[in-house]
Amino acid sequence: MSDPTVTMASERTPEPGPTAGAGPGRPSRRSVSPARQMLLDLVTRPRFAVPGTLVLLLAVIAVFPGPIAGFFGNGDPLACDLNRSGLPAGEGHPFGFDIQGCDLYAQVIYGARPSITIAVIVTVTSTLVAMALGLVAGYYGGVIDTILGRGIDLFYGFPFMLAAIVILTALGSHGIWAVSGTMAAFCWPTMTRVMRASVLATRKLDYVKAARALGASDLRIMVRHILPNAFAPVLVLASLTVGGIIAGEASLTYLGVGLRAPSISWGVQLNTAQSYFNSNPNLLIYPSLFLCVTVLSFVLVGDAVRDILDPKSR
Amino acid sequence: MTMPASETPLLEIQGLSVEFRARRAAPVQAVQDLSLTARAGECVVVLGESGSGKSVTAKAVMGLLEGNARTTAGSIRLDGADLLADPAAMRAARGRDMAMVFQDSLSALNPVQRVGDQIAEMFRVHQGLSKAEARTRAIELMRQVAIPDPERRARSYPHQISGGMRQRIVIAMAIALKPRLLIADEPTTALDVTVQKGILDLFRVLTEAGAGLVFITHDIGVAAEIADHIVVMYAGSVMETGPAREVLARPHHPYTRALLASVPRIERPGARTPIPGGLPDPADRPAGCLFAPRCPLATADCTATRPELESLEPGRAAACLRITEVQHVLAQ
Repeated sequence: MSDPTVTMASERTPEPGPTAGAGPGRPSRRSVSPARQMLLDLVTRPRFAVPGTLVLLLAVIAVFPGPIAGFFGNGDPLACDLNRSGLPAGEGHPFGFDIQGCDLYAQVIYGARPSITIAVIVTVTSTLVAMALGLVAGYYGGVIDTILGRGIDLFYGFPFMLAAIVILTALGSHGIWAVSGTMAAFCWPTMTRVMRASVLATRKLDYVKAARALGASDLRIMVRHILPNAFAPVLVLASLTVGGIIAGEASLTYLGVGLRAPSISWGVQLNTAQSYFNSNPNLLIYPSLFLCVTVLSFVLVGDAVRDILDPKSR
Repeated sequence: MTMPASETPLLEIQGLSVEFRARRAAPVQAVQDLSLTARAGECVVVLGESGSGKSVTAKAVMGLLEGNARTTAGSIRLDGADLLADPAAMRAARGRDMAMVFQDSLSALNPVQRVGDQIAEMFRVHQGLSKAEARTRAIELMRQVAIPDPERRARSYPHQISGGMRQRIVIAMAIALKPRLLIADEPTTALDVTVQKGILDLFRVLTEAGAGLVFITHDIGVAAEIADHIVVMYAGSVMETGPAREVLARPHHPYTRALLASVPRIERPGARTPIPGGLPDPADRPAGCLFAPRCPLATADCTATRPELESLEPGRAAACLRITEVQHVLAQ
């Protein structure tokens, strides 16, 4: 019996064992799962590897800011001395000092944590909500779908920034959870729509009918047959959204409705820096440099993920 | 249709009508007043052109009609229990008592699950077997449907194996719980003839083991190969039914005759006669005989009166007003 996978010049490896490495001519093994194959494709792609490494580095910074901030010997962002307010870079203080006399390098490093935490919380929650709601709406259709659809339309009616400012002002709380919650509230509707569309396309396929013809329950069909075949577009959208959320969080914080002064965050630093740009441009340059690189890295990672999951749009 | 009064047939469809509702248009009758009986150990072939309502009939039996399709009349009885009247019975019967084999095996299998796992799922869902037990049973089943090296194939994904082997996997899933009724919707259409033969042999083995088989096809050669009984459909209605050998050797209905005449033959290239015209628009079916517009024997009466399916001789029936003339011509 002819086998399509063997037609390409494949070196047979007996075991579906460890990763292929960077050897030329990736060996095609018959039982590598599609998910693992995609992951392999992703990691070996230069367009992913560079921003991917940066994202990984940022994640490490977010999780362990202490040792990295302490790299130059002055790791405590709150060890401030007003006598050093606004001093330029010097020994052990590569970025100089901010207006409060705190080490700017340590401040910028610690600033990564809230940005990335918020981005992760918002993306994960809105993706999960979107997958669940999109699955139910797309699969059952009818009244459930209509109600959900109109609910989503309602959210589309608000301009995001304005609505977020109003909500955060009304809430009066400016912690990570308040900011994350507000942003997630405006993130899930788009994702849910994408998920629903994808479920609608998958639901009509023969193997879903076949599963039903063979007696599978609704829940089983949704979880085992539709979800694994329908979540790729949402995953792409989610990975492209992360960068936007980081930028959005910084904007809200800069506008004064997001995180506030005792918290250390790039947005807060930029907010302070705007008044001192002429005398202390480093206050603006370093946080915005980190912010730009972070957003860009996440966006590029999102692009690479899209290329892999949705090769047609390349 | 005639049948021995004593036993309850495995599947008995009576007067089934299915319509598709369209927005801002009259509903379309896809199947009209269809009756069909299938017995254990017997293969009934539903033969007809594309658009004749074969697949819709199969989906109706399995309860898989799309959102805008409705059964408007008739009954579908599995072992005497009316499935249309009792959706719970329909759900319970799917997979366990009746199963369906789809035409395109590539789209009938979940692309991101290993084929072995997809078969094993049948045992896990319906019989609650452990992962290891279900796997062992799946491999046994793959061996039973003649898949070489089943241990290794079980780890393949659908796109990695050939069409014939995929269709065997689909059949393995369908027969996993030993359903008494199998419905196969053009299971060999996407395969080349040598692979087709193997699949037909497999179905033959299954019916010999006692399963009732409803086999849908447009391929008369395939029908001749496997059928015990043939139901010829045209434009949603039954034109002729009877034992396979007799229907194919001595077709009564002009449509069956035309269909047989349009089969290409190796020994006589160019000798086939295609049926002129096309299927009537399902939204605007003729008032009289559905085949009248294309029938060489049609009279004014044919275009005015819809013929009923009438029994001609034991086991055979045809829906044609001019059946006596046709038989007369045949006799000469």
